[in-house]
Amino acid sequence: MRIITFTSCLLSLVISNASLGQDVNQVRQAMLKATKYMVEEVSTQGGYVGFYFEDLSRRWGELEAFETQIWVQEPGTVSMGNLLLDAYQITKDEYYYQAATEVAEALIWGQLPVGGWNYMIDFAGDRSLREWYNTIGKNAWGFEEHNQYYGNATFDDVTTSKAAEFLLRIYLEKMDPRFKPALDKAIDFVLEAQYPLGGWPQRYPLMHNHPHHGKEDYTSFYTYNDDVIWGNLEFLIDCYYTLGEERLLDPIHRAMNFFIITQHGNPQGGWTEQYDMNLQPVHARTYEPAALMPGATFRNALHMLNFYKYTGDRRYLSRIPDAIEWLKASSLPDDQTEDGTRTHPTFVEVGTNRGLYAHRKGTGVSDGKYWVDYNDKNLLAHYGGKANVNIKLLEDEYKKVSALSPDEATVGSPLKMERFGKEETPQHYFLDKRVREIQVSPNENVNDVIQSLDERGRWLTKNEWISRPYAVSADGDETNTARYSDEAGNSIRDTSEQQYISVREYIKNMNILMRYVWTSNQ
Amino acid sequence: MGKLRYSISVILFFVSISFIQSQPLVTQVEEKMLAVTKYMVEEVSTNGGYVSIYYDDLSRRWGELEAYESMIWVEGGYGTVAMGNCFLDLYEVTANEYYYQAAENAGRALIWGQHDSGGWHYFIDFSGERSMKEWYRTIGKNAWGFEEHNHYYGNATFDGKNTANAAQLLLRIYLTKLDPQFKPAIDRAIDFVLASQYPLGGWPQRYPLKYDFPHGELEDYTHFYTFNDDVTAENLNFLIQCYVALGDTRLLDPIRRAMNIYLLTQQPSPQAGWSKQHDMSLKPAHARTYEPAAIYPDYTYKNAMLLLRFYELTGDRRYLARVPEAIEFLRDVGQKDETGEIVYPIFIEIGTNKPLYVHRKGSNVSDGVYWWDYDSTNLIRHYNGGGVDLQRLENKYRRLNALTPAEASADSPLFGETTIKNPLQDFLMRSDRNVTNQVTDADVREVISSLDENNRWLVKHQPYTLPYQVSPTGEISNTARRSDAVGRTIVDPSDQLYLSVRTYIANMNMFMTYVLHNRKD
Repeated sequence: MRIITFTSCLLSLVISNASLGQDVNQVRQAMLKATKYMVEEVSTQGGYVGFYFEDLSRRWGELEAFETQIWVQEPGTVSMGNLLLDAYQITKDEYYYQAATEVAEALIWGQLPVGGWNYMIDFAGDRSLREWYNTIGKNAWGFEEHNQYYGNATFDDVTTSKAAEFLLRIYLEKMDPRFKPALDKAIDFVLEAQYPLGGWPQRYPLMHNHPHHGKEDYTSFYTYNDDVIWGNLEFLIDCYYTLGEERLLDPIHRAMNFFIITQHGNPQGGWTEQYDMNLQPVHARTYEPAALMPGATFRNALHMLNFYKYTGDRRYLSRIPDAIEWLKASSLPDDQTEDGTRTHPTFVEVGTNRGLYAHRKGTGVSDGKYWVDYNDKNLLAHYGGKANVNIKLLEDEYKKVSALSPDEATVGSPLKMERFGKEETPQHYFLDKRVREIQVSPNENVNDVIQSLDERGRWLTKNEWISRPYAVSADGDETNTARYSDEAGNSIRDTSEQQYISVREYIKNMNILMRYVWTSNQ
Repeated sequence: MGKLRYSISVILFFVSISFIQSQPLVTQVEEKMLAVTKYMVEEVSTNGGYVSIYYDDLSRRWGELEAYESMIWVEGGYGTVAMGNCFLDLYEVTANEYYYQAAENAGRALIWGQHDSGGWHYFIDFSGERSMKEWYRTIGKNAWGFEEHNHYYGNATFDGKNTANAAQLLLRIYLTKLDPQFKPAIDRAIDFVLASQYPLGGWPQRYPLKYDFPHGELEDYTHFYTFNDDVTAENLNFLIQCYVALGDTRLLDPIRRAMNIYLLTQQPSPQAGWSKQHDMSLKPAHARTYEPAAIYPDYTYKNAMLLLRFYELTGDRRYLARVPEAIEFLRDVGQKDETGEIVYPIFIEIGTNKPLYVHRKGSNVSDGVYWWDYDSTNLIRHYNGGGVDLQRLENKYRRLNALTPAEASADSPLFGETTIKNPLQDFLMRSDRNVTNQVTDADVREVISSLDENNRWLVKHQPYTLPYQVSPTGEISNTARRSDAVGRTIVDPSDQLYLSVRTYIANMNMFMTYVLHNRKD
């Protein structure tokens, strides 16, 4: 579970005309130079972590990583793989495809025998991974998903679904059959891990061996958190669309139906992010109590509107008004909105609609403690204590979508049974779609990006979020290996002059350059 | 899909208390009970099993259709299961081992005929599958309107609660003495119910799934999610019974899933009801050629009542969330009849809320046709809707909606409670009638006096069929129960005497009531 949730859906933006006029070849050269550095100097067997010391002497995924490790969870190997394929599609330069195949090879090396992926891959194998969990993982306070080694695969943060989707994409690119067995294995894994009612657990195969502080191990619960269910559903829809396998339709429909049956009874017609086997709201990490969640309710309601567009089935709309009503009823009073920046408590108590708030004290896994109460002061900072939900947007969308007839709603549905009406094949339509949707910020200037590349082909950054190295003090205390933060959980960046190589920075800049090349090609 | 419904449960519920000392009559009743039963067991049964009606000389016999002498009928009111339950009732009342053995024999016949998959077919043929195929080729295929018997699938059926009721009888026998001879068959039956459950919680009408008998344009309906004849409800009830009786927690997940299929199949407003069958995309689907894909007010009522019950079983308010929409739909489609009473059409067209009406013409499977339209005259009469008591639904909804989850689920058999007296009760509480029986000495004397010298009750004017025949011109008789053009049953007008399982059970129930009430213990 990522601690801060990013909105994956940025606004679509038009590149500013001011930057047009740059020599396209120069832009392509900069792209290649930066990429060659990443591929030839930075990558580990084709894979990546999130960021590195400039001399590669230390490196981090969500936590500090060994040199033999690559991170599957984003930002890391999968986001690099996708970027490389984007670059290939735009430039047709085989260098990028070659680099992407290396990414795929690394992912296939690290695919678990069951067909899914853990957060990271360790090329030094299981024993090295255990050592990591026993030192860095175990001592990362607040990163409870990394505190123990399960040995299974995770859907958290779309780790498995995005890795699998990347394999789908690279397979479709040239239909090179060497990627197909791993892709098939991943699809089978997603299908096998799906509960009959259509939801997924956070991890699979199911494990129950890590209860936290007297609470049942949460990783087998039905999980919406960090797009576990949505990520798998989206992956299956993409597979159905591009591989044409009808056996995927039933799991797809079951996954959508799961949203219907998990909506809470009235007057609290919302959702939460984990459900127990009885479909009741349930806890996850120690700062995630069993409660309803306005944020999840908002997101699931929007998904339901999309399900209507996929299927034309108005069952998906039936209880959206119940959700809207509950979101209104559970809104914060004016004096608790943090100056109008928040609308809801992150967690709302079942049965009472009272806000539940998480807090913490301590310095590390051994003395640290999280607890939950009704007090909205001194909130936990690394996991928003209050949420901002745009009820108006949901209401407007509902009104708009609800006014559509089933036929109108399903225009363009990837699930609709009809002859494919586009000029290209579904496979190419799917591939091109991503490139069409590459997004960049409007204020970025191609020239600035090229200028900021150093002579070795790097965009160096400062002030990253890092962690202390794992160490044991003379009196036996282990360091807290979590990312630096204060007691309330506010992140503390590295304030020194240390320079970093950042995958995120590389992708951001590459997107600006690619967008420029793509626009020039049109 | 049974067209006749018999109540097979004995309702031992009394209002009258007799002050008359009647021990001699009680003794006489007990003797007659045994004598009549001995006749059924020793003269009538086939390897321990039964069909529904026999000629007095046993030369012809019927289940839902005419049966071979080597056959027994499984399904609910038609034979073996009903008899087995009656024997167990008798055993409970009298403690006479003879009755237990009769039930045991019925159980053994059912086990002989348990399908490889673990379920049961409508009937068992002790001459085996080749004889069954012959029956289907002749009698089954030519029974017009009995479409579920027109084709040999070779699988098991939940229709008419067939498999559930057979399994429930075995469970009941097993719980009586914990005789392990019955355990493997029960385990297989439970596994069958679990294996045949769709992931979303519903059941098909038949299993293993088959698709080989489409009707014209209409896809084979037997794999659809099926509410008809309580397929889903009775399987759910059976699993709850097993959970209560056997304590097996692996049954909890299938139980919960079965409840969830009711949520998933409720259609969107303004037609927030259910059909009797739903296709794989959960939309209303057709079944037999006189069962269009439509919204069924009777099943909307039933399913909404079940949702209210699920709230009591789970304390989960999800089950209440859309009951008001179902009520609204029922209110929309109710119509006043000539007497001013509100009645509900059997079928409501999807998208329009118009009633659909089914008609037929012809006389047998080759020239007969069913169709539906908006014309409310000249309806078929062999297919009726169930009752709808909207007021009751509304009242119950209001009452339960006002309860907290903890209050609502206080008596749920799914939580904690391990000492439930009768694990074979209807946990879904589908019957709303409290039948009160009052049996007088005169009643008993009259029934005894109507026995013949062989200790049988013989009756006339039963529903009957033509024997399977091929005429010299090659025409095949309609082997369905005899009926007029619109499907009204025609009974045998002759003086032919019949031995009826239904009569036997009804009179035994009367005797048992009398004995329980009048004997001095």
